Amino acid sequence: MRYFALFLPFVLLSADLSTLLQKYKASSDLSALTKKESAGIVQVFTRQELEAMQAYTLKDVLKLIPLLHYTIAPNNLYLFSLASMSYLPTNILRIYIDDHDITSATFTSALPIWSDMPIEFVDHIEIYKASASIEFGNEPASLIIRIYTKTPERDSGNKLRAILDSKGSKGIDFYQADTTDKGSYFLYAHGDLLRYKKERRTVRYRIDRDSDDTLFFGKFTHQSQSIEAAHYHTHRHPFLGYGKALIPTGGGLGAAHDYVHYQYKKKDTTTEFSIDSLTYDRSYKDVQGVYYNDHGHAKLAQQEWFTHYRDTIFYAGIHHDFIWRDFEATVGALFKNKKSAQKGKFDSLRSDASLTKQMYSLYSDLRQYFSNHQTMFFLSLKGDLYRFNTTIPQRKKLIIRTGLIYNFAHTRVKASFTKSYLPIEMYRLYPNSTAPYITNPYLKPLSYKLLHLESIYNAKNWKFCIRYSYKQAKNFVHYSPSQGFYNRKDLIYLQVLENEWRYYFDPLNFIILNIYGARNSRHLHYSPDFGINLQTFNQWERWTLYNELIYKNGYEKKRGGKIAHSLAYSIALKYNFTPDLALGLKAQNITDSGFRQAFSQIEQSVEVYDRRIMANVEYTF
Amino acid sequence: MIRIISLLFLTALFVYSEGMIQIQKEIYTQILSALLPKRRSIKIWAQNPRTLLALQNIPFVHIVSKPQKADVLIIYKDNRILSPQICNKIVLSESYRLIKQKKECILGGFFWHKGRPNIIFLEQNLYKHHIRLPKEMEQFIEDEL
Repeated sequence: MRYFALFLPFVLLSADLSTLLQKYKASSDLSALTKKESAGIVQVFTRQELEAMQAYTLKDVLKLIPLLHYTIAPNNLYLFSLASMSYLPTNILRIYIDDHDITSATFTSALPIWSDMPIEFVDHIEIYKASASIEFGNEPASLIIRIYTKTPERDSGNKLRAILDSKGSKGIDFYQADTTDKGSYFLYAHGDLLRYKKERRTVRYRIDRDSDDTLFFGKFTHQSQSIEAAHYHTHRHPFLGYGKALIPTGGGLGAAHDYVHYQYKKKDTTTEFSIDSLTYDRSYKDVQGVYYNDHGHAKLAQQEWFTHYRDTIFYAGIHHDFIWRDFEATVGALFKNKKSAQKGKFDSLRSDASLTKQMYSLYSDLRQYFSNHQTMFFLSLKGDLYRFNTTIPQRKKLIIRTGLIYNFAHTRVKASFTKSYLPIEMYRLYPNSTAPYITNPYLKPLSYKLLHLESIYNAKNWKFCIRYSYKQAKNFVHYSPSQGFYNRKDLIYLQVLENEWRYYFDPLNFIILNIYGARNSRHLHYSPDFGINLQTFNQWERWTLYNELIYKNGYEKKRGGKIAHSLAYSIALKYNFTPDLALGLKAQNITDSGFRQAFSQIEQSVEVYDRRIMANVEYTF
Repeated sequence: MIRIISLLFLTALFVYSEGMIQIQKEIYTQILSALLPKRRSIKIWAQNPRTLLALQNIPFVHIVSKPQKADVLIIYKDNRILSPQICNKIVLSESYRLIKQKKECILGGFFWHKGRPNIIFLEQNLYKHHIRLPKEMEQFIEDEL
């Protein structure tokens, strides 16, 4: 009987005006999407879904991406691992807030700072897998997360949201939006103290992964111009750290990101400029010390291990869209100037260095339609040039992506081939031979080839997709205390298979089922290689009900030991007292049998999403 | 002409969101039937091309191109057409801001506000037009904004 509610979606038959308004909202959420079918496998979390899920931070959403496990790293950052594999390189991913890329220059990823960002200001989220990201301009990545913020046109007014959970977490969100005769504005503020289950690591030490965040965001539009700005600050406790014993006695992370993004649209041409400033302060303390590199020799810092990175990024881009009969094209150019400066203290050793990288890029995305839009052929090309202010050699890279989308009857077939690369993280290139790592200015970027096949069947009330991808990658970057960063010579192959089934009883009541599996050429099991995600959404008069079941299979660790399969069941129930006041309750991982993360250095595994009950109050005025 | 081109373009754009247009049509059918229950044919002028898409499939609706010829006007962004003559007609709005600005003229509306679609009828304007709404729609009557 435990999961009875999960399999009981009620069907709405009434068509009174209030119900029609609810259905209109659900349908409008779908029509607000901006997804680009040619850019990869698109998965969308609509506003309706996010609200029913009572999603609070980004990890509540990203844990539901099939084939990817959103897991926790020993230093309390959330990273992805692909089914069967270990952590994916951080540079595999780019996150955009509206049209702004929030990637750090030093780490070539947004995850070190934004991995658990609040999402109350978000309207919907689009996830692009198996992408080359050419369609979005900017630097390449094979996983794109596009976060679209709420629009003043729909969200005029004020909203206050407060949460409290059984672990002692608390958070508050507020936004205000309005329109004027010629423009609009949206202002958002967030603060939270997130608390987690403190599992015992040793007799004396309990794992501490708490975090605190603040976010301020604003966007203003005036006719064809818009400006967006944000300030995000996060503070994270050390979790396991990266010390020799993984028993931290202090340390943690304090990071901040500020940006301003200006956009001007005239007819089909968009011009953009942005400036980012990021700081990332990381310290580790461990009972047995923390490794650092001292001119080629691995040493243990007993007292102090501290790094401070500061990034400044300037971006300028322009792109133009053409439509000529059955031919569409986007052509664009961009320039980026990135500076990463590092200061470090490692017991008595000090480091101080900086690196500047300039990127010039030209790209085009061409789409030709045939037979009255029944068939679409697409070809994307991009050339990137990187220049550094030191002796690091300049690099030229070419990306190509081509494919076909064919529609017949209720079926859509997609096939694509991508040849791309991932830019190298700047902290791996400099400072040469000084703390904390042995860097390598001659590292080659990870490059990959990807074949993707997809078939989607759309019936009146349901949809079924089957997807297959084959990926071949080389130049994986590894680190050894004696050699530093180096490229692995071997090729790695990966095959993945994914099924998605959606059934709509009506726009307010539906089920989503995902089943996936993966296999890698080295037959490694660093994470579950098979999983099932099941979500049901129900809305009835003033009630909203959401059920979620996440299954991941067990696996044997390479160095021995077995990780058991996991089954996390969560439920969220919301009641609208009035259209303006709602109270929600969410129980996450009720059975306390959710996904546990294994760490290669220790026997102990840690629950990624712990059992908790969250109360949530939302008030609009 | 521009409106016709916009309409054609939006027809293509909204093929995938057919559900939304259908629901919008049902909502306007109920609103218009409640406002003018005795009329077999209602002449409507609408500013928003998306709304025109939904209205064009309502059997008793005739879309007109000039505001002066309409029985009901649905305005979206621009309130400059609201002359004293026009204000004697039934004017609905798809913008909360416009209703607030011109509440002496606009009867009510179907619009986005606070992240959800809303329907509002202003009590004094219903009285002015001698409109009595059916019981199930009384929940949408507001005396103040």
